[in-house]
Amino acid sequence: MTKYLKKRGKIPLLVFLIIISFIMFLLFSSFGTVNIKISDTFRILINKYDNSVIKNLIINARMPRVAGSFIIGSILAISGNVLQLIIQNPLADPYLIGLSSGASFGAVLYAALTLIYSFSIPFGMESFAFAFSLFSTFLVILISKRGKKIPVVSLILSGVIVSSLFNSFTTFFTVLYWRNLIHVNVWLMGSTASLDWNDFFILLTVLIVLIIIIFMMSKYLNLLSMGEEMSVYSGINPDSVRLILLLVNILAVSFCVSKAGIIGFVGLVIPHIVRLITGPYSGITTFYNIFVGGIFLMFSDFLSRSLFAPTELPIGVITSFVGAPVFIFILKRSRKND
Amino acid sequence: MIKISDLNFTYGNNFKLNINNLEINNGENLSIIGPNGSGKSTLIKIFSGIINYYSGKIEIENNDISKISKKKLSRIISTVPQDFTTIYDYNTENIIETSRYPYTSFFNLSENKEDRDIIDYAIKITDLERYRKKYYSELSGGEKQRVMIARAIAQDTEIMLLDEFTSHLDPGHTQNLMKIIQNYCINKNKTVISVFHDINLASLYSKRILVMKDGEIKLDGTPYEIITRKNIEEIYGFDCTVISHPIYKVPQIIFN
Repeated sequence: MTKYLKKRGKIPLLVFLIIISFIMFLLFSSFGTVNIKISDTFRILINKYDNSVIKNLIINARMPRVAGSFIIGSILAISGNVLQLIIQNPLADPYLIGLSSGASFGAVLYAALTLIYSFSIPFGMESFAFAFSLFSTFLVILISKRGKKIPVVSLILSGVIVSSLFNSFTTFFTVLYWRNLIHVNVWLMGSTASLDWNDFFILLTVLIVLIIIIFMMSKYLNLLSMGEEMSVYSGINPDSVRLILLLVNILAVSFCVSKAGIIGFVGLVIPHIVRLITGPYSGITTFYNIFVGGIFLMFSDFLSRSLFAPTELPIGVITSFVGAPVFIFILKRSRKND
Repeated sequence: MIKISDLNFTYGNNFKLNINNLEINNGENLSIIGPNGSGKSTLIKIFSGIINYYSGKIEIENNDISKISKKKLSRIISTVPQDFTTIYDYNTENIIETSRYPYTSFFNLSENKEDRDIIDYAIKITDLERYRKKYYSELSGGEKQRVMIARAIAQDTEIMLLDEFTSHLDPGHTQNLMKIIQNYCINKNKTVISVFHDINLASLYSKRILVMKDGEIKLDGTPYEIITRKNIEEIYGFDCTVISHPIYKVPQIIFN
């Protein structure tokens, strides 16, 4: 089937994915602790529904959460894909390379500062998340670098070490200041429960900016994904391209982590699935990642709130259930090529 | 014309590359030989821009290459590396298409007719037509190098650098690829600088040979002047007999 898709049908499949995304959005907005008909959800969307309690619940509680999950899924998938291409490592993922842990620590630190000293600046949480994820990501890259290359296993090991260091700090701060462990879950295993429309629009803006920049750098990304030397032969400076793309990705993921904590493996699993359909990299890959990543996280969000309702499972638990086996599969395969 | 003066480079270890003066004329077919660690590949890496922190001056047609943009430089110099691998599954055509990046502008996303024509030409003369859609990673060593040669040809530069590009190949592939390069470069009067591990190949395919050792150029001349029993003994510490090629009348060495 993938052979067939490679030849034709990339665009029709994309259109199909867009439609499916919308249907899934309606579906997951309808089901939860309170279930309504999908047709009613659609009526709410076009403002032709009367029951104001239900309407309020769907529009202000569930929809931003579902839509927000979609955007976060998209950003994580795109970011994972770009990281894999520019670091030249099929196992790169914002979670596995310590980016998310740094961001989550930054966010918790800011939350603690706000709580104790009423410290507050616009986009403070995002800025803190960005600053610390910059630090953690470059730390991981620095530790794992051997000459000009970053070996697969070395990257993962440094990622694990740096992540667990930052996660310990995060746990420490959350327990110290909130005196309970529920918040730890939010930051370490991810939660989309608190997303509102405001968050959605901020995340949407981040996604759009991310897409525009990736499209502008598409040609360079394509070259860089073939290896550093190929970039040099074709006359681009690999270091500057890599740095710009890395910074943009770190920024985008910092926003996701500030809003929903660490959600692992999305950036690993989705780009691999997409690559099976579209081939390694082209302009269309990014679009596929948006929709496949978005659908995946909407579905994970649905499972997280409905499997053991009314108790919520952290969304990172769901994505890890799916992600860990895929990780093992890719690791095995990439070791074979070493 | 390429002119190198007072070129100095070190990796930070004991190795030092030091070339005081070297001139290469347009259309020249030059080979560089020398034992392992002599600096031949390093010299190619400096030329191709992989290494860009050296002291001294490299000029092409009186332009200092450190002052030319990378993009412009890649319209002048193309490189065929020793081996090239990709982590992701690009097909042969994707790899060859990258050769046209130096000619596109930032906002131009698609290739034009000229790009297409030259890519098709490169694929034709390297006989890669049936490999177009095949994954590069699934090709044999010889086929991979053929793709890299097609890529360099499509890049359409005055200077082509070949960095020990046949060292992993069997004799059949080596001969085949050397013929492709030779035909192309003679027809189009290109300057070719090749690093060779194999002394006999260098002698057979070029009119001028440089011998490098310990980061310096020790000898520079025609195959006849360079390839003598005494020189080979001094440079490689290798005891050999020099014979004349029965057809091409160039010196060839055999083991004693």
